[in-house]
Amino acid sequence: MKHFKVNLDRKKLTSEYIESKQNFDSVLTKVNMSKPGFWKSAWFYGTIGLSGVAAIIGYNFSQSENNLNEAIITQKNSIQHAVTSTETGNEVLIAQHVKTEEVYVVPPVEKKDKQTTDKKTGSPVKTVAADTPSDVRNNASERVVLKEKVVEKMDAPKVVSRSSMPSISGVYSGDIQWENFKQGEIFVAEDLSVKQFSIQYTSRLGDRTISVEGSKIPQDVVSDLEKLGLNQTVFITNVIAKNDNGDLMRCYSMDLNLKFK
Amino acid sequence: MSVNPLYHQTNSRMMEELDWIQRAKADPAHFAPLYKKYHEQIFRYVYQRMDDEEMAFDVTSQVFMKAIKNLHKYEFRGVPFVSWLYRIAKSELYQAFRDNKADRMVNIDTVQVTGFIEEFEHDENEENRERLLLCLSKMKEEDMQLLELRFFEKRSFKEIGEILEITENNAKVKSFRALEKLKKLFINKNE
Repeated sequence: MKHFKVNLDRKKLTSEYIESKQNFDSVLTKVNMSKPGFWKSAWFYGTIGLSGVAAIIGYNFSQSENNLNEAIITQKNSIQHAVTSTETGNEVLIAQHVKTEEVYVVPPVEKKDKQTTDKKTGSPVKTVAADTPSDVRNNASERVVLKEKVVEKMDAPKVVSRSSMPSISGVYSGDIQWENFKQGEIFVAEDLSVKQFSIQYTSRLGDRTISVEGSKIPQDVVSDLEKLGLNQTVFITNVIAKNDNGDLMRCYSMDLNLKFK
Repeated sequence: MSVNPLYHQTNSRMMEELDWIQRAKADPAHFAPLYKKYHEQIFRYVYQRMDDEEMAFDVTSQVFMKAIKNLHKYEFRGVPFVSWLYRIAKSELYQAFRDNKADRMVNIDTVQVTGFIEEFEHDENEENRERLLLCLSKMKEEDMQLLELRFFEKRSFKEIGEILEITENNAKVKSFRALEKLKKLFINKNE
């Protein structure tokens, strides 16, 4: 069986002819054309992969830390508020700060309808108190007016002094026994009643932040903490209290170290 | 047998070549001197085994393309750079045969035919010439390769060993055995 075709005395090519066929540029062009795109290279996939993993980890991390960060920021704001008001006495600055905060946190207060008599005409005039949060929800145009009115009222807010810090069972910071915590309620001063606060704690399902209306620690929170049964720091922030005149004030935040026996 | 001066080089030449290779690794444009130096050798190696001239030039270009693309894998092992090119050429040739782009050819001239017949101690005539060509066409690929490298292209055993990645001694033994097979085939046909 034949494996090869045999050629006898084929015409020989000269070196000059072979040299004339040299074309390095064409070889180089073909090499450059056949290079795979950067998207096919290993480093590209490596970079994309690592970025993706980093993004996922970062997202998860930020999600878990987000609530804690919010609490810390609120605490900082409270401290800044207090420091600014006590050290500089600059009321304008305080008013601006409070304005920003109040837009979000003023708790619902019942509407007060007042019927007054116009002194000039003698006819009854019905006016609606514009400084209630229900107006904020109901009418956007009134919201602008409301914000301004709140600021006007808060131009000279009552600064909560250290002696009137919020406390639970007499503890305003540091260690607190579990029994005292779960039965207690947030107390600020005789003339102040707590209307709203936020509580941040760690449950079996992770970090939780809950906004509460009123001054008592909700039963759900107590139950969560009891189930976990671990000594932990609970942050109580965004404490809004109301005085006899109906003025709303933001109080200091608290961080309490729960002690289970 | 004459020695291929382009293959068997002095150390300084090999070092110069190594310098070109290092530069070409950084920038393929610096491969130009190597291309110029070895283009003809590689082309002749390819064309010796092919019928179509244009196809041989194409395969030669392909060899240099592969060499440039894979230059980062090249490691100097004390043998001339061209032995690496020959190995790429061999692989590209067989790829072309497999793709049916070209037919495997054996090119031989009358002088070489006469040399074989004299080696086999037979009369140099038309009948024996035809018989030898028939015997050559029936040789196995690996034996044919050795006969081509040694007796048609007049390469040294050292060079054959480096191209086929075998030792010089092994190349010597295998070439001798390939020649013996051809002789046996030729004599059997003659009887």
